[in-house]
Amino acid sequence: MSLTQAQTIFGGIHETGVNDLLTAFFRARPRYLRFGTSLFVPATSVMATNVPTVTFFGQTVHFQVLASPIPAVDIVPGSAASSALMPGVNEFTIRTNLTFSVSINNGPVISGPLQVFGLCEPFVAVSTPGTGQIGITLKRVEIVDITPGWLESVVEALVLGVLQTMLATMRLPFNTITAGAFGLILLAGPIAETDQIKVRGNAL
Amino acid sequence: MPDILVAGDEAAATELLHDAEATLGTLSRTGSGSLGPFSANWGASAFFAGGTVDLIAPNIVRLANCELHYNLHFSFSFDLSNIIPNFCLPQICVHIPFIGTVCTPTVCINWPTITIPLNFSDVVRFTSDFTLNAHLSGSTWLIDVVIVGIPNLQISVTAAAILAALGLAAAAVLVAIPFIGLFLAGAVLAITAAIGIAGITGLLGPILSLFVSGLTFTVYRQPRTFNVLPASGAFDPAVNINLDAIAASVSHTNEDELLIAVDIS
Repeated sequence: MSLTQAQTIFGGIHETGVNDLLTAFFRARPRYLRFGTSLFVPATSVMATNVPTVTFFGQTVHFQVLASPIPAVDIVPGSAASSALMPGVNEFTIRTNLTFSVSINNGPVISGPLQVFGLCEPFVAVSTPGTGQIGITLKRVEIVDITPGWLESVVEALVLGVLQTMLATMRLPFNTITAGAFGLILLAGPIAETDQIKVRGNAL
Repeated sequence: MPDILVAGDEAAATELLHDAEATLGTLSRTGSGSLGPFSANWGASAFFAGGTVDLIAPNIVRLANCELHYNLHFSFSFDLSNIIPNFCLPQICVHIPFIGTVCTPTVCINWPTITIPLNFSDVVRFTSDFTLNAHLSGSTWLIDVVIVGIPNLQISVTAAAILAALGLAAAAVLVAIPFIGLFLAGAVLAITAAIGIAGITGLLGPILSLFVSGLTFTVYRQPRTFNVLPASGAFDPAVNINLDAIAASVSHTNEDELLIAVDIS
């Protein structure tokens, strides 16, 4: 079966390529891996993003969330690295460690890491021919080894929001998926399968 | 498995070639060569357009009916005396009563050296195979399609048209020469006969071959440092990747496709 199928152009980016892009993206813009209130991040910079403090029952909560290593993906079919959350049809997992640091009322800083897995799906963020972009939808997260279960659910809900914020600006431009060879008019995809994110269409 | 795999079918590859033809633009050459028994100085410009791509695994891009549009200007000079013999009108004397003998002077005609210029434009179509060549040139990745051999250019019909145009050009030059009247038709015939179809093809063939010999279309050109996302505001610098390796080939499944495999970091 041809790669282009019913269209004239095919672009496929392997999970190793997606991980290279994630690395390039977060190395250039590390602030999307580190969010903190003024106690941890006095002002937004290239390195970190300042977020407002949270008031909870009259208490001032300062926090920082740091993702390290740079998130990496595993596109269906999943490998052993995705054993905690296997990707299904048109899905891929993303994994990283999140280190949470919290200080309540300027008290001592409490820190701890969490290994997190996110289940994702590619979507068309911008469909403009030639300059369109593929985005990442984070559908749910899995955190291993938190008990009791209800607490795991609470933490997962928090982590889902954190990861969604981190991934919100990550984009795969059409031009990158075609390596600049073609201007793409997207007609099919994106679809995650056989370790790749694939798009098909016609030349601009 | 490469980090990025791009495929285009023959329709997409044809568009790539047409874009490459437009990018190549108009080429120019100058030189001199034999035009039958004469030496001609020439200048020529040409560009390529059209054609359809037939992909043949593993590495052939066949371009069919590619159009070579060319404009040719040449001129050649020669001594007209080599074609028309010089001659003299003899002195004629007449005896006139009461006046004496009156004679006309001897008039000799020495034919000048003339220059015949000609402009000619035409299109010749050809079909040829090209091979794919992906390579790094400085800091830029290129995928070239490079012609294999020199295609057979059908120029016999064109040569006849050029010869006819040459006859008209010669007549236009000759008609201005004093005393040529009786010799005009013969001179034109002598010039065109001396050159002949063979003379035209002998000049035109090598000129056009200069344009197609080693013909290279660049169908892919990207900097090694590839911009993924432009800078956006003070805190979001540009995102770049390196194109570490690029390979190009032709794949045959149920469809022929041009493949571009890219490794990035």
